[in-house]
Amino acid sequence: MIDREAAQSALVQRFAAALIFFLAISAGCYIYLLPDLASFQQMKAAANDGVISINIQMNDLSARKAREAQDRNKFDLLAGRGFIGPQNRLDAARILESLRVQHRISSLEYQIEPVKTVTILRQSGNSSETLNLSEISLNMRGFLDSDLRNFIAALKRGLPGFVTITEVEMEKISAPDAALLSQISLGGGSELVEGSLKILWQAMQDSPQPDGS
Amino acid sequence: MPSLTDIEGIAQRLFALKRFVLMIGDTGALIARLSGSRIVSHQFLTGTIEENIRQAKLALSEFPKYPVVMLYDVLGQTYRRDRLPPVSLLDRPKILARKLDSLFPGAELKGGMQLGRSTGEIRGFDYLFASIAASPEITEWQSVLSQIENPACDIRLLPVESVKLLQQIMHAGNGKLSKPNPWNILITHHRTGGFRQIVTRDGGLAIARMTASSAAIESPAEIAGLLRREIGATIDYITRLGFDRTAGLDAIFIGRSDISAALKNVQLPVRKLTVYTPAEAESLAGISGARDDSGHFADLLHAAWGASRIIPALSVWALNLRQARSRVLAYVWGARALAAASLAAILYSANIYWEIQRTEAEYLQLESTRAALQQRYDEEVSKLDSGPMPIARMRDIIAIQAQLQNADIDLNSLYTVINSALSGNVRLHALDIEIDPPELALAPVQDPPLPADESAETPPVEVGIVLNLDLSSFRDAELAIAEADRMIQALRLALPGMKIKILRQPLRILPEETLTVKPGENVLTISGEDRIAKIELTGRLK
Repeated sequence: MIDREAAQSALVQRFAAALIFFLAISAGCYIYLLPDLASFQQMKAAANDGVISINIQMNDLSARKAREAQDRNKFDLLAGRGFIGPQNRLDAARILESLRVQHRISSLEYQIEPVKTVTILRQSGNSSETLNLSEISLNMRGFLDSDLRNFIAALKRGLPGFVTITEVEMEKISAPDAALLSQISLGGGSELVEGSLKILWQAMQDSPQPDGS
Repeated sequence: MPSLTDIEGIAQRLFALKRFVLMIGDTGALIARLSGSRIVSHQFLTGTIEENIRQAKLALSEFPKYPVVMLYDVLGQTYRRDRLPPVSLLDRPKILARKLDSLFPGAELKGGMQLGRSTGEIRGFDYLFASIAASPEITEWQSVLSQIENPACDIRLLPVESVKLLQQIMHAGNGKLSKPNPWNILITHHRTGGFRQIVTRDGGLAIARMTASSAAIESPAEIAGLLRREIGATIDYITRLGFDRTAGLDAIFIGRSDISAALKNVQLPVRKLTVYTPAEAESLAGISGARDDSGHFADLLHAAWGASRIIPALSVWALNLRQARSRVLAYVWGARALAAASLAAILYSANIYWEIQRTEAEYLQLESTRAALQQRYDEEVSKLDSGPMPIARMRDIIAIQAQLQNADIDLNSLYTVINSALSGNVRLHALDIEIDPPELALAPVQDPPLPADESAETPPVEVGIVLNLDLSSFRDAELAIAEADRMIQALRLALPGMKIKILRQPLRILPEETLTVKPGENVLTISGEDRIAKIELTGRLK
């Protein structure tokens, strides 16, 4: 007698074993491996995003550094022109005398007022900068009005810091005739024009004022 | 598109199912071992039935795991064509079983095959029902199945299964493009029976007949004569089924070559006769190993064809046994499929594990890159404000200088404008310029900061200019006044943004002045201090 039932039972057992084995592998795969992979992929994506983000920040930083370098250069240029720091009146007197001679100003009388400090406030916020400002009044006489004009222009360029002209007066004091022009050409003669000038001589303080001052 | 037969053939070659076929005829039996559609070994059993059964058991016991397909080619086969009502797929087996019980009461081996939807007004499905009449021999052969260790696989009928063999040989022999005759007959010579005739109509079984071999008829001519008569009788039968004698019948004979030659000579009552030896037929049918020792008989060809089919055309095995076998097969193939799926799952898991390792390594690499970049970034940021003065303050100072620069008036260009407005008859006696510099202010902090000089707005600069013109070259007051007016117009054109008005004319003709003329005085002749005109310009130069 053939034990077909036993054979069939063995088949069922084999099938069940295969099913359990398959389910175990599938469960291991879907419950452990795939979530683990997904987790690592997420972390990798996050790290990748982080790298991209830092690279973008580095690019921004490079651009910022370039802007700052440009601004530092401008600042150094201004500092070289004496726009930052104290005003040296002795230097100013030397420059004025030199310009007077250079531009044939026969008579120069000037007065440099005491330094005023002007606080420049920010439109919003409480920070500020301080500007040193000296008012200079000049009276001068010369032979030609172009001498006075050139003197004024040279003064504007020559004084350290920044010079703002607030008032200019020029007037002919006598009409030139042939004899006078001949005397002028020989280095003599009397002045033909006189003028007065008011300027603001300005430079920044190199250390900031305390806030609100 | 591949047919079901093609797909079955592919599956046969792919899986090469190993099984036994036990073909039972009226005068003997055949046992053959198959691998797919290839006969590996065979044995004709032509002794007494007891001896045949003993030998069959012996052969089967060599490979007890191989399943057995029984293929009956006996005389006692009954076929009926009938209709089943259109019931659902789930109910159909029950209805079929009931129909079989009513058609073949008491028969153990019976079954049916669906032919298609019924034609006509009554809906339903046409079925071909078949059974094998019970006999002592059949009972004895059936009992073998319960005595052997090999599992029974199926019980089939040779004529029904070989319908497709006939189609296959016809297609392979004639080519699929030629138009097939609706009526065809396959005549094969069997060692286990005699001459089997299978007649098909439109690819379905029409009738099947068996002509027993007789020891008294041996010569090919006599056999051919016998077959001529038998085929004539077959044609008489099928004429009742609608066969048109004028259309004719295409016949294929598979058997001895001398009988084939004799058949050609006797002029069979068929339209076309094609003869093959069993060796030729097996190559056309895609079967191998179907040649017996003599090379005369087609038993092996039928056995290989009928038993190698995975899906039988018609099974006469009891439904419950078929279902039990299906369960066993489901377990076997299910376990195999699960084993294959497990292997695939292991490979998939290994692939995921490898992917995890790779992803983890990439993640760690990226993380270290990110940390290094972050450190570099922090270092660069810390260097940014490391100069002697904060950059924000530098920008403020630059902005203030830019405001001063923007508010600055270029006196040279102003002199040029005034000069160009002066004519040759007029001299500038005096020039007064008053400039009201604007107030300075720092712009709000921007993020990101604008370039320092761009953030500086241009403040309006108010200017007041007074020109004293010497008109002493004019003697005529009217001309001098006209010259002063011309000068005003010229200045207005040159400085359109400024208000220009005359403060003094060579004559006191302005509305706010008092004009006094003494007797004898020519008012239109000017001299001395009267030769002066004053023009005032006010407004914004920037």
